[in-house]
Amino acid sequence: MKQKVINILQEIRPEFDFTQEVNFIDQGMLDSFDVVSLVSALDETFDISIDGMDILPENFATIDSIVLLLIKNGVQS
Amino acid sequence: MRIIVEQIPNRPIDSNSFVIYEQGKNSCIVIDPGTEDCAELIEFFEKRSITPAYILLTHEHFDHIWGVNKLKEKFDCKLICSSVCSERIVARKKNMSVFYDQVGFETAPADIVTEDIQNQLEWNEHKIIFIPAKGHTKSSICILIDKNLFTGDTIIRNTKTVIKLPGGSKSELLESLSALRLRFYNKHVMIQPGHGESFLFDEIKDQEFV
Repeated sequence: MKQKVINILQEIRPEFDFTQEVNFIDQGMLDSFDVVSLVSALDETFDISIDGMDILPENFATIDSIVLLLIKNGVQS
Repeated sequence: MRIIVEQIPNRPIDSNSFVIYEQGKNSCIVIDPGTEDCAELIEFFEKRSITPAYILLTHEHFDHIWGVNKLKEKFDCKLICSSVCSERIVARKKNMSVFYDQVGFETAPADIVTEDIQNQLEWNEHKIIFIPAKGHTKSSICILIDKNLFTGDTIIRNTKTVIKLPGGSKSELLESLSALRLRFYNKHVMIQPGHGESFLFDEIKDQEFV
């Protein structure tokens, strides 16, 4: 699951290395437009529907936070 | 008869809605009503004794469609947009509203999709032409009424067109801009954009937007 998430992120912003342990939002690696693309890609890839109330920057700030969100949506790790 | 184009800003996002009407006639057209309660639009209609016959959408994003439900509830008017737009306004993620306030909204699909009417509509003896203009989104169209080209978010003065959102494409945008230039350059057409002030088509350069 982690690798799939990294692949999605790198497709959205190929110029950044998403294997780094940094806050993607604070570092400017993902902006609000990217979060829109990311949510759409996660929904489609994992066949889920991320709830609007979970669309918060902190849920997309690191690989771990994204993975936690996926697990919350029933994706098996 | 000459049409009157009134630009009315949407709130809270500063996109533009437009009312197109003629002196002495009741029927009007609304383009991109993006304010939820449409209060300013409705007041405008009442002051001029006009009623919307059609709501036209340039694309599916929430700041251009938020008032559709209110207008449909209050007036007997038909919603017209491209088929892709019609598929996307019905879903809060696809119309992007959920990304704005985490709740979002949905609308009913269009009553008429532009492809089914061969991209043309007769209104008050005027011909309205819908021009596919992919690039900002797959659903994007420009709407030509007399010498006014309503461009939505495809062309906004001094602003690069957003192509990062789902359905955006640089190559499709370049193709659309090139086709628009071929069709409208030197024709004294006024651009009525989705954000900001109106300006003459001949003032633009494609590279400003890409």
